[in-house]
Amino acid sequence: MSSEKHKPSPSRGSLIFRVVGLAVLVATIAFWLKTGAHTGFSKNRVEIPMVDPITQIEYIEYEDRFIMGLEYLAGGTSAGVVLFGMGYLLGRKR
Amino acid sequence: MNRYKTTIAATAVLLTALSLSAAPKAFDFKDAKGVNNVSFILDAPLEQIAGNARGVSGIVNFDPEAPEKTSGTITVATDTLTVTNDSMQDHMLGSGWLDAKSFPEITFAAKSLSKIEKTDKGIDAHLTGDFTLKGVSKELTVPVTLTYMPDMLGARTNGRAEGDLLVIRSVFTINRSEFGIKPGESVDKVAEEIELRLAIAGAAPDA
Repeated sequence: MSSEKHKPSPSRGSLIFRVVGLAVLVATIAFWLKTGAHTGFSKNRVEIPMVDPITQIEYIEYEDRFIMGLEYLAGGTSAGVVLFGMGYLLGRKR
Repeated sequence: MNRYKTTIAATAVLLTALSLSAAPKAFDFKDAKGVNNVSFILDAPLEQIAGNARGVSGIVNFDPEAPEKTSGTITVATDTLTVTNDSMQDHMLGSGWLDAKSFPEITFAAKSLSKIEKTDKGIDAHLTGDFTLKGVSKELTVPVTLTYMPDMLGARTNGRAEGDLLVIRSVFTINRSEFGIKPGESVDKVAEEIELRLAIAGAAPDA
């Protein structure tokens, strides 16, 4: 009980790192989910399958749209974890 | 004498008509609608690359009564090869891989058609020709399906032109190393085998 009372509160810098880290982590995952949870590399354009009504030829139209891929997901989540970890370490040093 | 002239004239007209109907038609594959395409798939252990090329052109001479006489060349503009990632596309067209600036065209020049079978969809056959990629030519024999669509050009052009259509489909595989595309390099990410899927329609307007 008393030890909890004397537990030092984290410094402002530590807190900022933790909040930013968490925000980056959540925002990265949220954006990845929002753009379709694509499990390949990122896309700058999206394929839209079409069929020519006369010849029945299947072809692709491209729509310029960003789809976040695994490389950005890995980078974003890693950055979030590192920032959060730095905040945690800064807090402990105090 | 008049009857003689009439008979000669009628015979000439008949012979001309017969020779015209027997002549192969030239189908132009430059498609204003932008439907003609060649798609490609490279399925490597670490990465699958799939894309599409729309810059198709060329002339194919085809006679539905004598498909074995089919000849012509189909060309794909290298710089129209498209994948869904800009950075990957720059690499693909760059000097390290396809070198689109030095080798702007990929071609297939048909030489002969064999194993011809008439089916519900048209004509299945094996097409032999010279396939040229990145400046290297190899003779290939590939399966093709030819679908002749007489008098269907009008439906495709909303009546602006009348004539026939010829649809050519083919699926075949090439090895990139045989065409000097980084032989043996990065095979974990860029597959050695490239599957090509061709679906193109050519138009032969009435004269």
